[in-house]
Amino acid sequence: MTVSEFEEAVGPDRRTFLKRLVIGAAFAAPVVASFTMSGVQSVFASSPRSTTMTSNGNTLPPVSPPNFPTEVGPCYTVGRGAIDYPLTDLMGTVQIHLTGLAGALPVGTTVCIYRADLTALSSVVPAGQTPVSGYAVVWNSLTGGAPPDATSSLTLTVTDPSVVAGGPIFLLDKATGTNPTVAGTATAGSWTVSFTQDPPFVVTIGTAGGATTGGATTGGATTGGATPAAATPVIADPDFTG
Amino acid sequence: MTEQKPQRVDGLEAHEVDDGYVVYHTATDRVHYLNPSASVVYELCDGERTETEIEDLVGAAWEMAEPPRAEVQACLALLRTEGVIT
Repeated sequence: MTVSEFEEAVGPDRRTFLKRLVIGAAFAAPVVASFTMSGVQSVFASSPRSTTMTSNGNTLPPVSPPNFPTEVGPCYTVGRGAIDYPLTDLMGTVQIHLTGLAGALPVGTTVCIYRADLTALSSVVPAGQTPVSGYAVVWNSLTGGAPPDATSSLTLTVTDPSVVAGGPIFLLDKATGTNPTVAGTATAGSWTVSFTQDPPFVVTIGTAGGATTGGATTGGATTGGATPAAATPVIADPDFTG
Repeated sequence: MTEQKPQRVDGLEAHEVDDGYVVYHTATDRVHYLNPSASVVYELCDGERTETEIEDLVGAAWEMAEPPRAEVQACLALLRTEGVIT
């Protein structure tokens, strides 16, 4: 059989999309990750050359952090296999990838991603800046008490067309969702953060003016440096490594 | 090898995302994320092709020397378990 036979086999309405999928990556074993809409149960299938399944339907998702009220997609139950945590948000306009979970958190830990309330964060970010994108990653403890730190960094990448190059990424206090601290800068259309603690909050501020981080202060919710025109929230914490 | 012809069930909403499909199944209120190869398998489950033909087409799509029969079979089994195909 040939590639052209494959192309003829799929419907014309999906042909272009499927061709792009095929051309875009080498073959990898099929992965089907299934979730209930409640987000309480998650079932994943993944491994390099076979399809296997693990599940944990008994772990309640972590609590959403202040100013990050909206759960994005289903929560993820950490398994033993290395698997990315890909999600889309806002009608597919935002792509979210959380990586580094396997081995970093105990098997069975539930990890959730929450979207920021950008309106609420408008009064949290420094004056003159506008949040344009914001997410928080949180996870629970399997034994009660505070969530454990990850043993290695998790990395969150958000692809969001509203993010502007140079926009500062703000880390927020995990208990209050306030007190922004500049923790990095975004690139055009995306931002990336790495962290080890739950719940790491970050706010990235999309800017037309090329914000800098030079004047950032901790705990004071101000940045003394650049004054970007637009903004975005994210995820991080005092152990922010990205 | 099998002559069974998998077919997607009714009530599925397949949404194209960057790296595959996200399929919502209204009857079960479940969401399924399919990576690229699983998306191709899903798309080929139109009730017109045997499982062997689907395996061959997946191999053809990626120009593989041998069709990934075991992987496709595992995927079909999982989709069946989830009630996405019959």
